[in-house]
Amino acid sequence: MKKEKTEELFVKWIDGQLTSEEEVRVVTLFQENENLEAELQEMKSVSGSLAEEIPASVDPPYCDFFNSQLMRKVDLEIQSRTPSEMRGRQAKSFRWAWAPVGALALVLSFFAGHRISRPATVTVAQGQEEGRLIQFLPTVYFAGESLEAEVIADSDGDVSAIFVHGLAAIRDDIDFATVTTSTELPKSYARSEARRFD
Amino acid sequence: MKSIGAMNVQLFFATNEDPAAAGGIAKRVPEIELKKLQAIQGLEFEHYRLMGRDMPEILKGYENWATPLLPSKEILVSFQPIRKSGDKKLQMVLEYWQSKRKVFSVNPILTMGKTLYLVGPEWRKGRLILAVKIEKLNE
Repeated sequence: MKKEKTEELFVKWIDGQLTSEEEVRVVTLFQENENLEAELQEMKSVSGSLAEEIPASVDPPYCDFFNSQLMRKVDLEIQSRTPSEMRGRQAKSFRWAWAPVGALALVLSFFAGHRISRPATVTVAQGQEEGRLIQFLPTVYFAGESLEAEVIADSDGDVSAIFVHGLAAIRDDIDFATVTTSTELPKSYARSEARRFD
Repeated sequence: MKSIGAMNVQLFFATNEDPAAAGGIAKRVPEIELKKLQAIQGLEFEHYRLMGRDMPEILKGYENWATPLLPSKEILVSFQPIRKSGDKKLQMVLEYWQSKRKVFSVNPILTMGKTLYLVGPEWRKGRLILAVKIEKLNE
């Protein structure tokens, strides 16, 4: 059987979309290679876990940038392969199946440390088409706390206010009038300031 | 680094208690700004005070910072322009920082002259509100 055909069968097996005829062929392949079923089962498990972690309804922000970076990495990977590596055994060529898993992992790492909140409530002026406005409203990303955001749009559909609920209160003894030399500044702040005065 | 405009970042204190709790740096809010604050749905405070303001440049391809509470740097805002849309709109990543810690970030499309209010944490029986506006956008 051609390599492309078997790869297609494996993808369909992982996705649970095999026809009965294809199932027979896959079972034959499993019998020919005793490790094959275990390897595919592992990929299926990883793929399932990732799918559960990533909300299906949330698109990655700046997807053009994300896709261009992903494609660049794929191009670099292809260029870096030597001909001898390309002639690996068929069993080793199962690496292809990790590509979608890798892509999912990249998406997951992109979201690592963030909790994404879509607007819990979108309030718009009467008569506005809510669906039209929502596509322009921003997404709020939180750094780990159980926070919620409420995004308010004005009559033009522009975001006018974001209520962030669940933030820890600032201690009352903190006086903004005093120079808080003890306050550590974010590293990125120091880097940016240094660059600005270069 | 190329400047493509200027931001106006203000920090307000809103309370139903005695606004003097905000301390000596708090100033009265100009009437025009007060009306805008009072017009925000769901934000119904009796008193508003201006705690500070910063008007940093917007530098292209650079993580810019606003420090509206100087001399204190307890609350910081970083902003990085992503793309310009027409003459008056600019999408940017805004990040709210509190005591060295990034609390949240958001990627709004801001329109020059229109204020985005970020209603933040409680403090001294009131609430802190960041007001972010593109003051100037170069052609």
